[in-house]
Order: sequence, then structure tokens, then C-alpha cells
Amino acid sequence: MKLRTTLVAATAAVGLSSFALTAHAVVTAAWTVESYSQFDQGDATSAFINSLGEVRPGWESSRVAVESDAIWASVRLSDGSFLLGSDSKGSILRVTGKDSKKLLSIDGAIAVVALTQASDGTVYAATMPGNKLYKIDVAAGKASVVATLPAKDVETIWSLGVAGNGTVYAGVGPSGKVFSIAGATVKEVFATGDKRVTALTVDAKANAVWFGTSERALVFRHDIKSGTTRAVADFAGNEISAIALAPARGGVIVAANDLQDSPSGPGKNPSSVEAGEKPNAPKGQAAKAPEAGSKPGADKDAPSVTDIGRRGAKKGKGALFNVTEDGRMKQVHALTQTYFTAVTLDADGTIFAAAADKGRVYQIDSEQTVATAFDVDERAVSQLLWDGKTLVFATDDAAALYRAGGRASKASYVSDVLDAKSSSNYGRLTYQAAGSVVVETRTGNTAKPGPGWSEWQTLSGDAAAGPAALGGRSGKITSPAGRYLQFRAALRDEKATLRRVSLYYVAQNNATTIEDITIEPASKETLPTLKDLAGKARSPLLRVKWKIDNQDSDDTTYTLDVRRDGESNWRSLATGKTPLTSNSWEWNTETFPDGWYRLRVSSSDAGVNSPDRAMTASFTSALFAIDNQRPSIDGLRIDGTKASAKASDAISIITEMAYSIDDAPWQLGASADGIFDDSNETLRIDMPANLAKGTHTLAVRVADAAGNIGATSTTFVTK
Amino acid sequence: MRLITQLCAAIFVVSGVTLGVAHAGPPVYPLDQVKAGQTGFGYTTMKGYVPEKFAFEVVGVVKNFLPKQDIILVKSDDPKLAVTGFWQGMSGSPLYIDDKVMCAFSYGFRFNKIALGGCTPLQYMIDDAKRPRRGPGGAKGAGQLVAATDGATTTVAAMTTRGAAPQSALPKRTAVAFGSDSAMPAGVPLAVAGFSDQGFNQLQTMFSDTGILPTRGGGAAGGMQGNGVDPSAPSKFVMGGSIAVVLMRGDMSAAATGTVSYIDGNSILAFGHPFFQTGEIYAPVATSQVHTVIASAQSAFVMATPQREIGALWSDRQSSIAADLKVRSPMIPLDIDIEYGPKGAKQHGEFHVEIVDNKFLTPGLAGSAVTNAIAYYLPDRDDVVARIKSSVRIKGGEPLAFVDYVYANDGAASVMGATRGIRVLGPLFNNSYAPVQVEAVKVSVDLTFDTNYGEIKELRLPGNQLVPGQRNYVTVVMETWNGEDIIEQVPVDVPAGLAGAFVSLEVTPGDAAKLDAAPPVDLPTLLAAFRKLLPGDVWAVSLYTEDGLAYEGKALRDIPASVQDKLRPGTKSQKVQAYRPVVRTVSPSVRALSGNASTMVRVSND
Repeated sequence: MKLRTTLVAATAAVGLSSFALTAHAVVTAAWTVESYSQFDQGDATSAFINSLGEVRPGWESSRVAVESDAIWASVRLSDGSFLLGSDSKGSILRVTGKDSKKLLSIDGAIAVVALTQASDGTVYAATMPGNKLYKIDVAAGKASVVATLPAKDVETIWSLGVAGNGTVYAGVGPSGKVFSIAGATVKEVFATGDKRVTALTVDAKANAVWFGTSERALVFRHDIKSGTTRAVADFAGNEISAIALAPARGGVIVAANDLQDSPSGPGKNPSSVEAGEKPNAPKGQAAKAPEAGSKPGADKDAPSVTDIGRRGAKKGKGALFNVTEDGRMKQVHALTQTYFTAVTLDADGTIFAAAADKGRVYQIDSEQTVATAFDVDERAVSQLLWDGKTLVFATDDAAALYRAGGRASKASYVSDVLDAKSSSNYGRLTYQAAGSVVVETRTGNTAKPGPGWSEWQTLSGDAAAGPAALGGRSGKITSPAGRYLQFRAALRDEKATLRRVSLYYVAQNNATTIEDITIEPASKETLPTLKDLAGKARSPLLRVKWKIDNQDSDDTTYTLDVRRDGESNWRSLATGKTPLTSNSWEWNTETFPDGWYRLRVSSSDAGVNSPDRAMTASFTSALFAIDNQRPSIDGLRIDGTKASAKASDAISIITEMAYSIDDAPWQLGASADGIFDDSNETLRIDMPANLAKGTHTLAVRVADAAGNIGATSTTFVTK
Repeated sequence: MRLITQLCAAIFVVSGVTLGVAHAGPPVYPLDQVKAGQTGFGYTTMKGYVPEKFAFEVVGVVKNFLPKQDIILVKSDDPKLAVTGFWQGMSGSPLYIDDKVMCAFSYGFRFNKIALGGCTPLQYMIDDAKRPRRGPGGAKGAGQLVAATDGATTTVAAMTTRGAAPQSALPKRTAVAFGSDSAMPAGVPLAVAGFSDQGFNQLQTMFSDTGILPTRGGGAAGGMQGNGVDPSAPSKFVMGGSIAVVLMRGDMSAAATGTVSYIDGNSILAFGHPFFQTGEIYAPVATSQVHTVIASAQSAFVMATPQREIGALWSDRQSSIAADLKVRSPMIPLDIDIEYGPKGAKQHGEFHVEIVDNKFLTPGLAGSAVTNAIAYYLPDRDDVVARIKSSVRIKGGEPLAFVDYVYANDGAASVMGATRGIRVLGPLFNNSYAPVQVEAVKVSVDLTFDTNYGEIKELRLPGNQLVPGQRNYVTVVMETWNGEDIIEQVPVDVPAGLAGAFVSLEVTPGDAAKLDAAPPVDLPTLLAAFRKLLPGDVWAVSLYTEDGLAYEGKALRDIPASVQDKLRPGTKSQKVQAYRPVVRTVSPSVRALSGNASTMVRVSND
């Protein structure tokens, strides 16, 4: 058998209790796994995690497959074999050792839903449907009718129990009555007013019969001697599925479930009508649902993608209550996603409760510590019984019988994956343990553990640490640096217990790399030659921007250097009194002569790392021009209908030209070759043909690629 | 129309290869040697029991006229056929060339002006008769398979609707396209005796589009218990002699008439075309006495009377039917007793027939027989009320017994459709689980000419709530034959457990009450469901509450929520089916009922 817990998404662990001192400093961080929900992110094998956040070895178990869909009832015979009521054509199966054989079938039955055994060994059975009580002759493999209950009251005998004097008590539906059968005498003991009596147990010592109902989830206690019956509990759910005597705790443990309503038929049942009419009427004791993920059974909603569902299946919730004779009740556990099917207790008062989903048996000790004691592959655990001190349970879907063995010898726990966000060095791992526990770690750089991860490695110097009473132990993680880490623990003896695990790590420092530098005019205006006189003056400011890759997100400062093309020395740029931490800067180039330059950006995380860990990086830009000089215009002359001039700039190409005649609006002009692609351009202007006779002024402007503007003008006379 | 036949010698070819004669019967003329212009003779019975010879000429061979089957076209100028042409009932007549059997006359043409028809080469017939025989009941024995559970559910539900019982349709045979005209198998006359016009018309409807033509004939029908057989009737078949496939015999009879084509020991081939083309099928075969050929201008046919049963039909395929002289096919006795007239002056009549045991034919023929019996004794078109008791005896099980109590304003024939002992035959024969051997059917009708009838029109409650744990009465308003209302108090027992519930209350005649049982999953549960159907002479007051469920044919009315969950595994196919539990009160009705009424009502919680 495999004991396990659900492995949730591997990256979920990041949100656990890692801590960091500052947001952008690479410092020692810790990962702590200590609560049930934190441990539950990992995967326990042959081990269980209890609500205190302890991992302990589970029990070994052996499985016997049974030919049926579900097991509805069970008893243990004195020879150690088990009788199981099945829905395989209403048959009773007998499991002896590892063998399962059909003992008999009861005609007309869908399932044998109730089995009980008298102190003299006589076995009684009841079927669904059926109003007959059968006596089972195990040796002969035959069932004989002991009594027939009134057909008007009984479609099915849902529950059976036997008192010390041999009287059989039968809980039935749909009348919701309890009958006693002594010999062939059938007597009505009590009418619950509910629809079915689905759970019944006899307290031979107290000479009492406890029974619970379906539809209103009521619990009654019948005193055999006085013949009186008293309702002791009323739950807000709709079905009592099991009642177990709890002498060590007092009273009984009741499994009270709340299953979703049936689909409505042509009519409406009294309960639903009453609920609609009196929505504020008292509803009985409601269960307190634990916070999802806080303890075993407090499951979260399954993601729809993983829930294929069963057609027609009913969802429900369940709770266990300790109910005493005087009506006091105390909730001891609750399930959020399914309901309880069976409950039993050991001599110490430890409760074992079976659930209708995920194949689980929960264990609740006297201190209400909850653990998933068994977690099998079958969907539901339907029966719990004892073989001496050994727990035995039967399952549905598929049907099987399990016998618990000793503590699992190979119990282990594998943690969820820690994502340190960047390759990290790991320090010590401390944990609290009892018994023989061996902790190992492994690291890797892929999110899902697998090929390329390091082997599991034990802790170096794993030894007791701290007060002995706490069972603290500590050792150095020997796994290599890596972004991801898992730990595992082998629980090697019965007393082995693993509690709070903490480990420490420091992310490896990474330099902040510069990936690209962009240099451009701080204010770039288009077609500056068309601007009027009120236009903004051309600025010598350049905006320098650089892209970075800061993997570890630590704080970084930047320095800038510049070098004119052809020179050998870098000249530092003074970027201010405080270290530059942003990745852009505006540079006033007025003090730099025109020419071609390169700019270098250097990064450093020395501010947040010790000198030995500090990392630097730099990146040099492509050539760029500093051009603050105006282009010149020479040789402007007018020849009839044409005007021409020469424009030139020392650094940049001429990018545009505009002209104006007699202060008229500026108009774009063209170069002689039709394209501005050189630092020396011949300008050509077509003069207007209709200029009035007289003196005129021609003004010309040119701009270079750096946005510098040069201008000139001349006067001419039209005759 | 005039049909002409010519006889020709037997020729046979399969896939162009001449086959040797590998049988002990008369020699067969190979098909590949058949040529236009060849002449020969044929044998058919025109009167009495002795076949007569007639001449024919081969017109040609039509390849692949039917799937993998050629046909020989023949014509006849024989004076014996001058007036009648080819007639219905001579199909199967053997045609010879060179003293070898070439083919069996099989197809004619509507409104043909000369005796020209098709003839099935004999080797096809011999080969069809060689197919493996599974024996009565076939491979599985069950009837036409339908979707198992839903089909069964529908079947049972249909039994609560008067006159709506499902049954298998007879296989239809449509015209075979042939040139610009259409050819039909030389129709098979069904010699019908002892039927009134109503019963006869019902048979015509039943056999419409099947190629079977009901005609009036003689009534011995092979002789139920040997009665009525012509002492001179032959006790063996002859080639060219008349053969009857007996579907019903006794006080009413029906037998299909054709001609024997070929005899090989105990194996008899006839018709030259299918009967229904249902493959393996069993029915008695008998020698047949031809009274005469009716020279109908539309379609000449033979009037004949089946006589001595001497074998059983077992094969009904494309080329022919085949009978085995060593086999006898049992028939199902149907006894019809009719009492009619006023109380104290009842008159009694009865019919006794035997009907072929066949899933396609038995239900329809039984219905026709009952209709015919009623029409004979009670042709009056007046208001009638009939209490019909019917039973079906099934081998190995308790009989199914029904009581129907019905009214009609147009005579007794209209009420007989409600007879569930007849309506159940179709679902029984065609159930999807296992063969059912029906041993006998009995129908007893007690009929009076009166109007003791009410159609349920309205339902009135005693108050706005029913009282739990006791008998309540609801008022039912019914409309009578003349439009007047009558009122009756009908009891309904309300269980204490329904206190506080809302229920749906429905009042119906017993036979229209919905079945209160799990959907059948096998033959025993199907029969159990039929047995749970209520008689028609009672009130059924039904209270519907919550949904239950059914599991492997067993109904569960009362289920805890956890059991509903537990019965739905995720690792196996689910066996749970829907089931609506009913709390039902049944009480006698003093009149025939129809209709229904329903309402929602609250059960008191005080």
C-alpha cells in the first residue's frame, strides 16, 4: 500500500516562510516547512502528516481484491475470516487470508447492506431491498429467514445490532422505525419520525441501543431495560452514517453527514418543504468546517480540470461528533469535500474514520490531532473493523479488504520544491525529529526535479542542536548551488517523527548586465527650418538610455564614461553627487567639441554586496556624434527664376532646407540632386514667376542631422 | 392484364460456369445454354391437384436482374393461358427444356398484354436451399433486437396506452424495376377463409406492400386436428403441383398459395421468388387444391384451398422458398370466447384457430382473428362496453393475464384494439433478451350494448390538503356518452410518511396507470413488468413523490443520499437507472373509464 499526500504545484513553496531582509539585497533567506498545510505540499510515502505538522510513519497493509462494486457491511468471524456484504447479486463474500470467495447469494437482493454478529457467533444479515432478517449459516453457506418485518414499514433494513441477550435490533426505512427481533417475535421499538434508520449500534454494557437517521440526521438512544427512547442529538445535515461506542471518551462518536439534495422528482419531500417554509427554524447542530488546507480532510475544491466526476454522484460534507447520553456534543473532526462512511475507535479512544472519497482513513487521537492514517487507491473506504488490535477496512470502487500491519518500514517524505529565484548557495538545514530520521537534499536548475538534478545527499555534520527536549538537529547542506531545492526524510523506525524543517540559502550574486545603449537628442523637433522665430532654441542635451538584465534584482549603480573617436582615454561623466541608479541620464554636451564619440555604461552591485561578492559589468555604445555647430550657407545667388547656394556642416549631413521670400511663410526647398544625404549640399530654389517689380529679400535656412540651423539671406531686384 | 408463360428446359450457370448436377433431384438445364428462341414446356396446376403442361419460348436472359441473380424472360402462346395469362399462384411453376428443369416461373408484369414473364433459374433456388439452417428460433431465438433497456422500457410503457403496442413490421416487397415498366413477383395469393369483410380488410392492410394478396378461398387450411381435409388430397407434393404455406387454420384460415418448382427427396423448392424474404422462417406447408383460376382483367389469380399438412417451410430467400417434409412447425392456439347480450340472457360464441408461430405474423394474425370473431357475432354499430379478459401462456412461466374494460360508440370491433393479450404479443416476440415460446392465447369478451362509460375530465380534492396516514377520497368528474357529467368518489390511501410533502396525484383507469416497476433488464423482469400492469376495470390513484432508482431490474423507492452515491461507481459502468416510485391505490370501477386527470397537492403536516 502506498501512503501519500497530494503533490501540489511545484512552485507553490515560494510563498512559504522564506524571509529576506531588504527587497533588493542578496542576503541570507530561509525556507521553513512546519505546518500541516506546508508539509502537505510535499509527498509522503508510507507516512502520514498530522494536523500538528508532524510526519510519522504510517502502517503497512495488505490488500485482498473482492469481486464486487462496493462493500456494504462486514463482520469478523471467530476464525479470523471476514464476511462482507456486497452488491454482487446480493451476495455475502468470505475473505479468509488472501482468498475471497462468495459464501452465498440472497435472491431478490441488490446488496447485503447490514451484517451483525451475536455474542454466540450467530451472524445476521439484511438486504436492500428486503424486509427479512436472515440468519447466516456460514458452514453451510446458506441464509435462512429468521423474521419478516412489516412490509408497510420496511423496504430495506438498513442497520442491525445485537444485544447481549441475543435480541436483534433493526433500523429500517422508509418508516424510520427500529424493530427488535427476539426469536421469531418482531416488535416495533421506536418510530423516529424520520425516513430511515441508517446507523445502529448496541452498547451491551449499558444495555442501550444508539441509532441515527437519514433525512434529518437525528440520533437516539434507546434504553433496553426501561424501554424508553430519547433523542440525544439533531444535526444540521441529512444523514447519520455511523455510530461507534467511545468508552474511553464517553458516549459515542457519530458520523453526521450533509449530502446534497436529491434531484427533485414530481413531488417535494417533507424536509425540503419544511426547509422552504421555515428557513429560520432551528436546524440542529451544524458542523464547523475547518479552513481548507489546514488539516487532513480539510481539502480545497479540486480544480475542475482534475475532477472528472461520477455521473449522478452526490457530493457532501461530514463531521464527527462525540455525543454523550445527556446530549452534549463536541465536534472532533470535519471533512470539507466528502463525507464519512464509517467510524471505529481503538481501546485508547483514538478514532478511525473512513471517508467516501480519496480512499482515506483519518485518525483522530485523544488530543484531537488529526492524521491521514491510510490513503489507498480505491475511491471510498466503507467499512472499518478490528482484527484483534489490527485495523481492517474495506473499500468501494473498487472493492477490496485491507488489513493494517506494523509501522511502515520504508516511510519517507519528500518536500515540495523550493524556488530560490536564482542559483543559490545553501547553508544549514535544521529540523526537529524523534526516532531515526535521515534528511537529504538535492538541487537543480529545472523547476521539475528530474534529469540534471544532483543526487540526494545527506547533511554534513548532521547532529543534535539546541535543547534536547526539542529534538533539534542541524547539518550543512552539501548539495551544489542551484535555483531549486528539495529535501526528503527517511523515517526509519516506529518512533520516527519529523517536525519543523528550516533551511538557509543565499542566492548567488549576478552582475547587472547592460544590453543596449541609446543616445538621442533630449528634445527632438521635426522640420526645424519651418519654425517661426518664437520656436524653441535647439538644445545640446542628449538623452542616454540603457537596457539592463538584473537577474537577482539587487540594487545597482551606474557610471558613464565617454571617449572621442581616435582618442585613447575614457573621460568620466559626472552624473551627480549621488550614485546613478536609474538606467537613463541627460547629458549636456555643450562642453564637448563636435566630433564622433563612444559612451560606456558600467554597472556595479557593490552597494548591496560585500566586496568579495560584488559584481560589475559594462557596455560600450556605437559611435555617435556630438554636433553643436550650425551648418553654413555660402554663395547664395539668384539667376532669373532660379536661386542656388552651398550648404555644409562639419559633422552631420544636411537634412532639410527652407526658404522665404519677403518674409512670407517658410517653404521647404530641395537639394540640387533631390536628396539630402551629404554634409555638403547644393541648394536649389525655384523663384516665383509673378514677383512684383522691385526689391525683394530671399532668406534661406538649413538644418543638420543634429538639429543645428544655419541661415542666410540676400536681396535682389526684379525688373 | 394478361400474363403469358412458356415452358423451357432447365439451364443453369453461376458466374458463367456450367455446374454439374450434384443433387439427387431431376436434372437441371444449365443457364449458360439458354438462348432466345428456345422452346419448352412447363407444369402448373390449373384445377384440382394434377399439374398440366403448357408451352413456352425463351425471350432472353436478363443478367443480374436481382443481386447476383439472372432471370430468364419467357413468353407463352399456349391456348391454356390464352384467357388468363400468367396468374398469381402459379409462381414456382417449373419450366423444362430438353426434359431438364430450367427455371421456376416467378415474375410478371402489370397490365401486360401478352403472357410474358420472368423465370428464376433453378440452380439459384438449389443453392439458396443449401444455406446453413439454424433451426426454429434462429441463432439467438429472440426477435428483432432493439436498444436493450430503453427499448424494453418503451415497450412496457406503450402497454399503458390503449392500442399502441409496438410490434415488428412485416418486411415489405416493392416492385422490381425492369425497363420502363415494373415487374412484381408473381403475387402470392393468400387463400383466406372464414373471414368477414372487416377481418378480411384487416388482413389486406396487414399484408399491403408485401406481395401477399388475400383472396377468398377454401377453409380446411391443412386441417386443424385433421378435420375438413379432402380425402382425395394428395399426401405428397409433385413438381407443378399447388403448395400452400399455412399461416392460420381452424375456424378461420389463411394460406399462401404457389407452385412446387423442384423436389429433391424431402426438400421442396417453390415460388421462384421470396415469400417475405425473411431468411429462415417456419410455417406449415400443405398440398393445395386449386378450384379454378380467376381470369381477372387486373390480375388473374388462383382460388385454392390448402389441404394436407405434410412439411414445414424453413427458408424464404430471394430465389425461392424451401420446405422440409421431415419438419413440422407448431402453431399457436388462439381461443376466442364471446358473451354478449343483456344480463340473464347472455349468448355465447367462440372461435378457435391456430396461428403460425412467427414474430412478424403472429401478432397481426391474432388481432385479425379477434376482430373477425367480434365482427361475426357483433356487427352492430352501437354503443358497447366490453370487459375483455385475455391471457398468454408462455412456456416455462406463469401466464400473462389482462383485463381490459373499454367502451366504444361504434360497435364492438372498435374496442378489440385494447385487448392487451393480443397487443403484448409483439413486444413478447420481439423482446431483446431471450426467446419466448408462446403456447396459447385466450381472449374472452363479455360485451353489452350500453353506455356505462365515463371519460375522466376533472379531479377535485376534498380540501387543500390530503390527510396522511388514512384513506382520503378525491372527486372525479367524468363525462358520459351524451355529454352529461357524472361524479364518483375515488379512494386514495395517503401514507403517514408523506406528511408535509407535496405530491403529484394522478387518477387513471388501471390499464393506463404508469408502470410501477424498475425498467426491465432481462426476460424475467420484462414479464414481471407485464404482470404488474393493472386491470382496466379499476381506478388507479397514483401519488408521485421523490425519485427512487432502479438497479438491475429492481426498484428502490426509498434511498438515503449516501446510497445514491455509493451505487454510482467511477471504476465500472453504472447500473443505476431512473425510477419514479408510486404510492398507488387501486379500487374497483363500476364503469368503463378513459382519460386521466392530475394535480399537485400538499399532504397535511398537522
